[in-house]
Amino acid sequence: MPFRAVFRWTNSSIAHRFSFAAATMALLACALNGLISHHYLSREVEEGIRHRQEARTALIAQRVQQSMNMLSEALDEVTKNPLIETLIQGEILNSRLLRDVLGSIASSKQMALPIALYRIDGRIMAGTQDSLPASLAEQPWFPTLAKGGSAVTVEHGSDRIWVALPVVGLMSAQVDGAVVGVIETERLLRAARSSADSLTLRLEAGGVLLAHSRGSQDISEPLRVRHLLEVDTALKGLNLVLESEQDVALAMAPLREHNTRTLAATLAMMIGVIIAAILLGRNLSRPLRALSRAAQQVAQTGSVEVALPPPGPDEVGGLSRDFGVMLRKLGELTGGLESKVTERTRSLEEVQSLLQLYGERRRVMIENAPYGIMSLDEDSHIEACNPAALKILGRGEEELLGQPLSTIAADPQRITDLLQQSALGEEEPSGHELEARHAAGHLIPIEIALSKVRDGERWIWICTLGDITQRKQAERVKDEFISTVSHELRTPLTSIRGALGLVDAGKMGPIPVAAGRLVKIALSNSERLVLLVNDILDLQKIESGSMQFDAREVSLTEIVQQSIDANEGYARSFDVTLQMGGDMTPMQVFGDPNRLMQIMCNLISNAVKFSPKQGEVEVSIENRGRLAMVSVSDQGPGIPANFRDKIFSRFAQADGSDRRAKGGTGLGLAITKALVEHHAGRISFRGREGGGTVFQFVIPLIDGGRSRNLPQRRSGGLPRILHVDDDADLLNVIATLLSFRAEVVSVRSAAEAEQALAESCFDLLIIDVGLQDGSGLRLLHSPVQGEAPAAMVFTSADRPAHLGELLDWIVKDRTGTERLVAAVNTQIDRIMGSETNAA
Amino acid sequence: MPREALQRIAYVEDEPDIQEVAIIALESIGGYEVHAFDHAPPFLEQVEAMRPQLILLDVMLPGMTGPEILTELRARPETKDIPVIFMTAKVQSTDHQRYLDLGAIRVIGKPFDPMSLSSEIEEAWNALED
Repeated sequence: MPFRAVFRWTNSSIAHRFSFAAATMALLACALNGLISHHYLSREVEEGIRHRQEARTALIAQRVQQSMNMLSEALDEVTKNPLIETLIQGEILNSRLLRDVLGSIASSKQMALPIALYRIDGRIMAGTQDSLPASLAEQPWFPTLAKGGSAVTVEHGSDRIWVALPVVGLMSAQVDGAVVGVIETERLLRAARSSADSLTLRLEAGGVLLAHSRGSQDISEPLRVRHLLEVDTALKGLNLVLESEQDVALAMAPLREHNTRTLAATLAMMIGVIIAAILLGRNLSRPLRALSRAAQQVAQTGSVEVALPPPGPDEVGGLSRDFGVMLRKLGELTGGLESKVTERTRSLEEVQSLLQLYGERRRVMIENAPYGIMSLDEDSHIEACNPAALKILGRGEEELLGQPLSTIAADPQRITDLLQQSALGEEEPSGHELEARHAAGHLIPIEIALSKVRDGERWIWICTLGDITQRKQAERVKDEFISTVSHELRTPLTSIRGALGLVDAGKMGPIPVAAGRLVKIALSNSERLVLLVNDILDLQKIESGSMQFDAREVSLTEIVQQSIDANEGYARSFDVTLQMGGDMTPMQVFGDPNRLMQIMCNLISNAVKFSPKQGEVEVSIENRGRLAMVSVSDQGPGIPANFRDKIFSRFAQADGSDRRAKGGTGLGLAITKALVEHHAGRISFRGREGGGTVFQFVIPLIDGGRSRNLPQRRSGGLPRILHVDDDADLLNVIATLLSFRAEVVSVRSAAEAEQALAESCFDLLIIDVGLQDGSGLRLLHSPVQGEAPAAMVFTSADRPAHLGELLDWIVKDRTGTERLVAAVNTQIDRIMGSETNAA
Repeated sequence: MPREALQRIAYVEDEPDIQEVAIIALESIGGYEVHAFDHAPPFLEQVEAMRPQLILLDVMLPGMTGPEILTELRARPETKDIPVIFMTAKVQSTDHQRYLDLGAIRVIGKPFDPMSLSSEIEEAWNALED
C-alpha cells in the first residue's frame, strides 16, 4: 500500500516525479558514498592508527632501552674508574669529589638517572641525586654484591629497577663497595610519552608490572602493541616488555566526526536537490498544466479561444506554439466541419425525407396499383400480395398467403410450366395470358408475368397479374369486327370474282380485246383481294386464338413431300425446280396437317417467287434430336440487311412493288411464323453462302427424338448450343443474344446437361464450372450423342487444368456478357466456317 | 354404276349478285336447271314439289341458316335423301368438317371460281354412291 501511495504520488505530477527521482538518486549517492568511505576509509584509518601506535611504541621502547643501557654503561664505567676505586679505598671520604666524578660520568653519558656509591656495609657514600636511600643494607639483593656479584632487580610494589655492580679494588681485588643506579620506570614512561595523548603504556619485567601510564579511563576498543625491549649488559635477564594500549574509538573519533559531517552535508544536499527538483518540475509542468487546462477547456466549451502559456524557445514553448497552431487549425477545421455537418445533415434529412416519401410513394404505388403484385418464395408459395391482386382474384389475403401460385389458375399446370420456363431463363419476363379461377367460381382472363429476382441470400419470384377481361373483350370486339369486315368483303368479292371470271371466259359472248384485258386486270386484282382477305382472316384467327387446329400425329416428312408435289406446277410456272434433300426418314410431329401444309406452301411459294429463272429451291428435312428441322433455301437475291428484323412482320416486303410483282399479300411470313409457333416451333432465316436465303423451322418430334436414328451433325442449319449455368440471368442473356445465330438449349444443372447430351447432339457446349450439383467440367467426359461437341468454359475462378480439350475459357466475373457473347459468336463462326469448308 | 345425270339443282343464296353469277355459271357451263331462292321459307315450301336432285345451300342465310335448312330437309321423308352441298365464306377446316358431319356431301368455299363450280358439283355428284 505505501508503495502504491508513493507510486500514485510520483505519477501525479512531473514535479513529484522529478523530486522522487532526484531524492532517490541523492540517497543512493550518499549511501554509496557512506558505504565506500566507511568500508575503505575506516580500515585505512585503523591501519594508520595501528602503524602509528607501533612506531610510537617502538620509539618509547628505544628510549627506555637507551636509558637502561646508558645506566648500565655508566655503572660499568664507574666500576672501572680508578679514581673511584682510589677514592673508595683511600679511606678519605671525599663525598663531594665522588659526587663530582659520578656526576661527570653521568653527564658524559648524558644520563639523568641517579647513580650512587655505597659502602660495602650498605651506607651511601655519594650519589648524584638525593633521592637515593641512605642505606641499602636491608635490600635483600645487596649481600649479592658483597660477594662480587651484580644485581639487577625489580622492586615489587614500586616502579623502580635497581641495577647494582660491585666496585672491586684494583689492587686488592676486593669488593670495596657498590655502585647502584635506579631506573624509575614511571618517569621514563612519562618522559617517553608525548603530551596528553591516548596512549597507555605498560612496562613489565619478567611478568611483573613495572609501570603503567594511564590515559583515558575506559577503553572500549583497546588496541594493544607489545614490544620486547632488547637491553644489553646487566639488564639482559630482565625480559622487559613494553606494551602500549590505545582506545581505537577515541582514535577513530575524528573520522567518525568527519563521517557525520559528510552525512549531514549529503542530507542537506539531498533536501536541496529535492527542493530544486520540485521547483524545476513545477516550472516545467506549469506550462504543461496550462496546456492541459487549455485542452480541457477546449474539450468542455468547444471553443478554441483559450489562453495558452507564452510560446518560448524551449520544447515546452514549442509545444505551446504547436498547440496554438493545432488549435487554430482545429478551429478552422471545426468551423468547416460544422458547416459541412450542417450541410450534410440537411442533405441527409432531405434524402431521408425523400426516401421516406419514396418509400411511402412506393407503398402507395404498390397498394394502389391497378395491377396485382405478389411476391413468392423460391418454391412459388405466395408470401405477399397487394390489394389489387386480392381484388382481381376475389380472394382474401388469408386464402392466398402460403398457397402455391398454381392454385390461382384454372389450369395449374400452366403456372408450373411458366415457372419452369422462367426459372430456366427460357422466357423473357413477359406477360402470359391465362385463366384464373375467381373466388366466385367463374373464370377470369388474366395476364401474368413472372420474374425471378435475388432478395439478399435467396431467390424470390415477383409475379404481376392483371385482369384482362376488358382487354379480352376489346380484342374480341376487334376480332369480330375484322372477321365481320372480312366476311362482308368476301360476299361482294365472290360476285365480282365470279362475274369477271364468267366474262373473262367468254361465256357471255365475245368481248373486245381491250375490254378483255381490262377484265383480266379486274379479275386478278379481285383474286388478290380474296387472298388478302383470307390471309387477314387467318392471321386474326391465329392471333386471337380462335383458329382451330385439327392437331394429330402426322408425318412431317410426308407433308414436306406433299408440299413439294403440290407446288411443283407453281414452281414450273416460274421456271424454278424444286429439290428434296436431307434426311427422309419418317418424322412424326403433333400438328394440323393443313396448317403444316400451309407453312410449307408459304415458304416454298416465297422461295419460288424470289428465285431467278432456272433457279433451284431446295427443301430438306432432318432430325435434330428432339426437333425436326425443315429448311427451304433459294438462290434469290437474299434479304436486304435493313429488312431482316422486319421480315416476319405484317405487310413486310422489301418494297411495295415487290409485293405486286410477286403476287403476295405481305402476310404470308407473318402467318407462317404464327403457325410454326403454334406448333411449338421456331422459325428463322439466314443468308446463304453465295447468295440466296435459307428459311428454316423446327418443330418438336413426338417421341422427343429418343427413337430416332443417330442424328447427323448439323448441316446447313443453325448450330446447336447447350449452355449449362446456374445463373439464370446469364442463361437468359446468352439465349436471347444468340437466338438468331444458334439454337440454344439452356439448362441449370449438370444432371440436366448430361441428359440433354445423351438425348441430342450439339455443336457447342458452354459449361459453367461451378454448378450446384457439381463441377460442369465432368460434362467433358459424359456420354454424348454422336460426335462430342466442342466445349468452352465459363469459369469464375482459375483456368481449368485440362484446357487441351477446350476451345476457350472465359473468366465470368471479370468480363461483361458482351465478352461472353463475343466469345461464343467466335466459336459459332468457327463451326459455320469449318462446315462451309467441309462442304 | 353412275346415277342418273344431274339436271335439277335447287340453290338458296340471299346475295342476289352471287346468286346470279352462280346461276349463270351453273346454267351456261354446267347446263343445269337451277331453281334459286333468296331465303329459306319459299324454298322449303316448294322443295317437295320441285324435287331437285341436288341442293346448294349458302350457310349464312337470313332467318334460317344453311345447316338449319339441312336439318329440316333431313326431317322430311320426301327430302331426306337429297344430297346437299354447302357454299360458305367460312374457311376453317373445322367448319368444313362440321358441315360434312351434318351430312353435306361437299363444302365449297366462297369466293368460288365460276368456271370450275359446275365441274366441282359434278364431281361430288358422281362420287355419290347409290
